[in-house]
Amino acid sequence: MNLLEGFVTLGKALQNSGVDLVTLIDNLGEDIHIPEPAHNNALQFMTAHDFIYGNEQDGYTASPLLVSIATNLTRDESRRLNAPDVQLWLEDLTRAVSQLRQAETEGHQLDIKKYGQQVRILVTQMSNGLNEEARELRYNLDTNFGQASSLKQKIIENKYLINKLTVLVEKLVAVNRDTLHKLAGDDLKLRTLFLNKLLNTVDRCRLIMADAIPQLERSLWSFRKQSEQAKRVFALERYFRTGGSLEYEPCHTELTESAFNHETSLGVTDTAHAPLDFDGRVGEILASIVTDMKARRDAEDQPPQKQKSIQVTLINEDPTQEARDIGGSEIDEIVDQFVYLALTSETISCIDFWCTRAAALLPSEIFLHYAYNVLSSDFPEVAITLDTAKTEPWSGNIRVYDFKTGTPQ
Amino acid sequence: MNMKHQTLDLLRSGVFICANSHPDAFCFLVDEVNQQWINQAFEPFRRRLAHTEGGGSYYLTFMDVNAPEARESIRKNFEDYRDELDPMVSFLTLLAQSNEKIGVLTTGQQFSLSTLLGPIEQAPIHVERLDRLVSRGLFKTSRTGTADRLQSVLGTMVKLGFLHKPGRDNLVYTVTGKMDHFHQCMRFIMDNEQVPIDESEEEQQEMSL
Repeated sequence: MNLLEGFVTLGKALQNSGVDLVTLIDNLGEDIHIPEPAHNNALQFMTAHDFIYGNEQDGYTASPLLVSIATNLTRDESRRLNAPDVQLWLEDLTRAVSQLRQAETEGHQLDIKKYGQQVRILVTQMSNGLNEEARELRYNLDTNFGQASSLKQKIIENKYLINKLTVLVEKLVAVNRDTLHKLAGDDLKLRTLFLNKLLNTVDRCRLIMADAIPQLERSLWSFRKQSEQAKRVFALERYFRTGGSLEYEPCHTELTESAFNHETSLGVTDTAHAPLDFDGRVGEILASIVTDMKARRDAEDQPPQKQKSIQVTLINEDPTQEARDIGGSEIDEIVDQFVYLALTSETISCIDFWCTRAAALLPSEIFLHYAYNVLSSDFPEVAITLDTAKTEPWSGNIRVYDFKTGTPQ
Repeated sequence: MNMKHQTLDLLRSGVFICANSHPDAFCFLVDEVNQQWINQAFEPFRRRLAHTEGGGSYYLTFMDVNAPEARESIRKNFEDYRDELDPMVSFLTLLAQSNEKIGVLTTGQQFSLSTLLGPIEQAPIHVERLDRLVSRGLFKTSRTGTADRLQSVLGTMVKLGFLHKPGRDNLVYTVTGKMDHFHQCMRFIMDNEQVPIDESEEEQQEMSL
């Protein structure tokens, strides 16, 4: 079926099932059984194309699309937002509820039906609108925004979504339990209607928003573009996330004084520091980060010099000069690092340090000799434990393989 | 701006809050209720309050260190400490070497310029090391004279947040909580840096003094 045929069939279906559709609109929120439909084919067509939901056994109910059409047909202004303007909507709802009460008091059945229907339409309209806006927001965030190819485009997309969010947040704040309970009073039917059709939707939208906003916000950090409007939205989102319910509307002062509405809680970029939890799982992750680090700059700059042939060494030779001759002036800085570690760590092995920091510059024996001399002469407070072995079983000479500072474990 | 927001501001900007550098904010953070409040405010950003060993200072860290964004930031943090702040290690060693009373600077330590200057000026080898420190890299300066150079180095450390100097004319410096963080991270980095050792290197590990 092409589109033209589709519209023609739709026209006929609308014409043939008009009475049944009005019944569904009149009884919004309920599953309506239509025992003898005027035209079975028309209802089937409407069901197949999601104008109405349900089936013969369970009953039928109007879809959001049908409610939208009904709303548009019963008012002059056809341009509308997904969800209606919240203040106007609240005024309309208050008026309709008040007229319904009046009709109930006076016992005017026709008016009761008329205003009851008005209330149901308004509620469904807002509920569908909120759902639609939340869905659209999620969709925009998941697709268009991520696909924006340039920074400029991303900023435009971002601003657009913030505008959408602002509208949605205002609605979510205004359409709250407190307001609706006050409106419904003791009327259980109205309370049930508000709860089932609206407040559940509001809660659902709140979750969608809470999920979407951090994503949007993170993007904003990278753009460094934060408007007052964005801040307000984010403040509310934080309020919701940390347990704020929609049972009342937080006043401006409350939000201003809360942790959630302070501009400094925005823009947290890379100013956080590494935690010092070096044990357990966090420690393992931090260790893996260290191993992922790029090579030390000096290690990158310095080609290995292991090919140097060094004739080592007499105990009386000046180890400082020898180390500098071979390793260059930077060997002093490396020895400084070793001394620094010796002063700040419980224990450190000189040969381990040499492996990571000085192996490319000079042989271990020269480094050990130099480092040992510096520590023993200038830092007598640092305890040094030598790792030694006899050169030969019968010899009196010993070799020093390593030394550790502090108290070895 | 009230204390809550002031503290949020400090943490957000990467400051280490300790009793000497930010006494009011530090007192505020000692209270567990306020800690919860701060954590609640930073929770949507996946950040949390942390403190250095012994609770000497508070700072902002990541809730999930394994998140890609956190890993990247921590890696940079570690690399900065290891590479950019490398000369600071030499400076700290110089101070410890020249003045036994000073030792390795730790959080809360206070000293004046003259306390450091005297022992350095007394030994040419220390002056020479200071000259070498300020000739390039982090502490590079065109100033001449040992006192000016030392003051320049300390000024850099104030800018980096390792030292706190209450006023322009005040010549007393206080070591901030960031120094403890630096020490602990440096030790951790050194302990976990892995350099593959091939056989020829292993052979070189034998020595005689």
